[in-house]
Amino acid sequence: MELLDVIEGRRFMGREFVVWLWFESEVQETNLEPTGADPVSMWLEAQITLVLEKEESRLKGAIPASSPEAKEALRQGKLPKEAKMRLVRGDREFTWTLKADSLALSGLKLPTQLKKNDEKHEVFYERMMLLEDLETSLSALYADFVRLRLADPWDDEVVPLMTSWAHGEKVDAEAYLATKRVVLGEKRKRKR
Amino acid sequence: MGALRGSLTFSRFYVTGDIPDDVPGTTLKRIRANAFQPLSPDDEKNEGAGWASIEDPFDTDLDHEKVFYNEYVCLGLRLDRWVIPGPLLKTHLRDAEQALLAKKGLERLGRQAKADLKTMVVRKLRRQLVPSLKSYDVVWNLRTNVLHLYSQSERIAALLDDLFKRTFKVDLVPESPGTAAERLGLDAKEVRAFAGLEPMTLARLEEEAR
Repeated sequence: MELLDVIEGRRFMGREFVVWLWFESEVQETNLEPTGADPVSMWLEAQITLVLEKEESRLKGAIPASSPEAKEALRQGKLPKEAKMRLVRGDREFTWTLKADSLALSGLKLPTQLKKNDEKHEVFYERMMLLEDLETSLSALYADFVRLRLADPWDDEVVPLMTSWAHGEKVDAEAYLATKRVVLGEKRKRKR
Repeated sequence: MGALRGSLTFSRFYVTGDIPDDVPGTTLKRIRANAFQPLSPDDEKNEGAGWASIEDPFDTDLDHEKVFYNEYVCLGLRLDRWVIPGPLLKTHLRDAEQALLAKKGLERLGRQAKADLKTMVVRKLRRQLVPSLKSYDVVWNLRTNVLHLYSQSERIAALLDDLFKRTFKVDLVPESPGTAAERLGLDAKEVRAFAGLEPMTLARLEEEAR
């Protein structure tokens, strides 16, 4: 594929990634285990914008993704264009807004320890180290999503489960996790 | 805010191509050659961009210590623009036009004369103004070859692309869902699936039909 097609023609994967993270976070009660990276807690909070063509639903609140309106938007075929997220890794907490179409982060708050009066290079290195930590987690989550998205069971098993979840029906979490283990299992083994 | 303080808003790029083994040792001369040059009131162009220190956009005398922080290349992408407020330009242009008409005993000016007059007025006003200055942090991690531009503007990304390629003779690929997927090293089956992907929906058919 040409670079322009890869960029413009696959932007929808960003929205699917966000809805998958949302689904994963609810099914696994925020406890995510990205392949090859440390476990994290992660959830959507404060603000989410869902779109379908020109129709947009912008929801705010403590955890708007849990609201009936958010699931209704999914049932209408909308997917998240932008979502505010929180990730906890060990004792470090990060919050940011993810723009799905570009995977760009904005308003990222880092759990820095050093203050602005500390040695300027040390402040910079701490910020870059924390940023890299977060990006390692996000990249590992995105890699798992892509592997799952490109695997055979996505259409036949994962999408029906996510559809049930969006419609407020009981989701067989074990069945989903089993499918995920099958797809990612070999890669997890190779990483060890 | 940028790389050095505050919350972070950025876009990511992958640095690809023929990346030198020793970037600090081989690129400082070219970085200095592409450092920001102040705008002149007589320039035809309305804006100019170039490298500055990430810590101080007024500092364009770049050396090793200001640019290379261990494995990071840190630069400020400085962009200056002449910004003349519309009403100010309009008033000065009207006054200059009236003065010229009176001096030459004419009733109206031709198109070329008007254009020349505008150029002259713009240059005069520029001498009384200071260009607007903005600087965007750029951090290239030489270990991962991921670059962060602390802006999400497409226009600034295009400026970066031009200046970065001119300076370092390498390519920048913007991160996107598609380029991030390709970088995972997909196997042949995944490549085929990736090429044939269609967007998914969680709506059920009967709801879509409503």
